[in-house]
Amino acid sequence: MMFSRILLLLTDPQASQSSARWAIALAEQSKARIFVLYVTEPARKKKLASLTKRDQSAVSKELEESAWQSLYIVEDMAFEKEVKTSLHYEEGAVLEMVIEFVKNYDIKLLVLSNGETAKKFAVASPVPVFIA
Amino acid sequence: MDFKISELLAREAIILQLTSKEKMSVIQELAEHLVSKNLIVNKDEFLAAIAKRENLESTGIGNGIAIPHARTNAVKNLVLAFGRSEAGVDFSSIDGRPSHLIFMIVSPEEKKSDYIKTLAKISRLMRREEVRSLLRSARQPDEIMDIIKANE
Repeated sequence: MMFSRILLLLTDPQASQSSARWAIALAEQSKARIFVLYVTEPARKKKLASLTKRDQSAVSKELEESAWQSLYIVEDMAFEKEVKTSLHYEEGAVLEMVIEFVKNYDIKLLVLSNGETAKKFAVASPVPVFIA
Repeated sequence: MDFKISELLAREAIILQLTSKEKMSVIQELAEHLVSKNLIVNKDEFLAAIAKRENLESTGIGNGIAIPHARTNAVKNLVLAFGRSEAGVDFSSIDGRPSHLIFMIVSPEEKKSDYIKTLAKISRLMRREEVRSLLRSARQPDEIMDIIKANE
């Protein structure tokens, strides 16, 4: 089965490289383009600020920079395999962001790493899901 | 070790009014500028590395921003250049808009970590509309540096 447009969803820097490898391998086979989307949920920022007793804007800055680093690491991995990517960072509710993305960019396959987020998408995703 | 964009961007690596209208010409214009400041060891190799990425993917990230980038041993140290285009240049951005603010980042092959961090810092900074607006209306290279320093 060929997928021309793959959405790779990232929500955590640690898990991102594993799911990225799978997305890139699938994209290579299908000659697909990968839309790499990193979503940070506002609740996560608040929780981290509270746990670390730090200013929320400083935490927000760090989280976003860390997210962009994950995005560019994936881009670099994909570039080595000559797979096209576009990088996207959003803040908001993950499920809503993904549904909007799928619709706006005509996504055919969603790739994400195993975990809490994967459980949500296993039932709610509008497109096939590959859990890496 | 952390670093700041304002420390990486030299005043002489800023072009406030790019004259080129097309993507690769803009990149060439920025490269020529860096060559004249002895920041590039091998211009042809430098341009080939940037072109290879440009041919594969769009470095226009939307909202009028483009960040052409590459890793190549045509530079000895991480190089950051900034150019501004009043008319805008087509970098095939996902939002279809031309790019007016162009940050070009090139790093030696072995400095991947610093390269990724620089890309991340600039991308985060350029998500902010107020920063983009200030950069678009700056009148001197020193203002560009001050805006980045004040907001990063």
